[in-house]
Amino acid sequence: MVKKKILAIDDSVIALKQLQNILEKKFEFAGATSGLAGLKRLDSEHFDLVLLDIEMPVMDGFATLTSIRQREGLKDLPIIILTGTRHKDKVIKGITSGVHGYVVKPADSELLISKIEAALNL
Amino acid sequence: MVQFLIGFWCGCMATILVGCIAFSNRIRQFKEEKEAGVEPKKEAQPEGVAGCPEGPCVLLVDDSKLSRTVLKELLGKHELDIYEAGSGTESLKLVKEHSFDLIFIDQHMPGMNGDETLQYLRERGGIPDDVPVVAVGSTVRKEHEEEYRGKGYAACLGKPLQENRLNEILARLLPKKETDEKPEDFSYRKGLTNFDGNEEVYRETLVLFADLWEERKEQLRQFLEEGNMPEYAILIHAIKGDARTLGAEGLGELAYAQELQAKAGDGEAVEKGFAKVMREGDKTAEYLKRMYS
Repeated sequence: MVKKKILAIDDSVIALKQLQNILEKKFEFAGATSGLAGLKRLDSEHFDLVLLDIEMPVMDGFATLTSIRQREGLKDLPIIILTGTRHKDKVIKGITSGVHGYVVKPADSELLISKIEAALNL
Repeated sequence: MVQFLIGFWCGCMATILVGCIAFSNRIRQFKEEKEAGVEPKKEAQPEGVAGCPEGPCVLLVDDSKLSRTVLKELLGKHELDIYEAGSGTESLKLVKEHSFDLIFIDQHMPGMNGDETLQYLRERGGIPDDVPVVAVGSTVRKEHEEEYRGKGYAACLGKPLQENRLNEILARLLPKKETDEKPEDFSYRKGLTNFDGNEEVYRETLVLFADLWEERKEQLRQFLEEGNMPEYAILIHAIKGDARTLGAEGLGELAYAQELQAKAGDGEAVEKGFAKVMREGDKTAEYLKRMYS
């Protein structure tokens, strides 16, 4: 079976490394360290799901989310936001912005994989 | 005179012969007991076994003096007390006299091989099960580690020796130094859980965090000088997340406090707590480099 492709957008390379370690056995993983770099990847190749950090410099997760949704063909792309526990307001904002779920960082592997699989209808 | 010399020679030979017979009997007895499935009586390590004054105590068991010298040379950088034995039997005496923190056993030795030596030391030497033993050998490969773990080793090390691999083993198996410089609430176990138990990637990421620290520190200082609280908040937020992911809870908490202050635009409070978070960050980065590089 062909592995589904996941793009994680997070300004922290440490977070990307942790996500890669958790996900690369089951999925094809790619990381981008900024919203702009993430959009560039999405413009040039197909991904099945995006993991999106909220607090990033220059272009934060919400601005990135808006830009993704403005792109033809990416309106329904499954997106899961990554957040810290204490940012309830941002979680609520994320959910109401049309994402498929959120995961608290540091991501628990089982929980994250189950959320990704649910979002991908696997 | 001639009679005296012949007598002396005969005496010496007899002593050597008796010694050899006793030695081979001990090995044979040990092997026979093992083959017959007899559970030999475990000898506990005697009370008051000496520790090592200089640092962790390491024992090298290898019949090749050259191999011992090479390994000793590589271990020399780590402030260890190193003892050497040329055979399994020779090592027994040492383990009864010293309390070792780590033991390296060559796999291909005449008489008792590596596996037999390991069993011999555990059963006759009374070395506790939690003292890690490393299998060393020219046919040993890192990919065989699971197989060696099944045989009771904690790790395996191929010859020719590779310094990186050796350092990786030492970082994992040597007792951790308890110094004042240890970061606040650093939990290796907790951090490792976030990496699904993958020690290799976890350690790489710990070192990556330490390597990034100086650059991030400078950026924070710059944002603080410019009074740029939004950017300060974003960076300290990332540091907080990374510290928590890696198990560095103390730094995570300090960074979180700074994040809240920066988000509230309270530059004065950020400035007040800046030195403390930098000290903790320095301590954490230095510790991670020292322990896991």
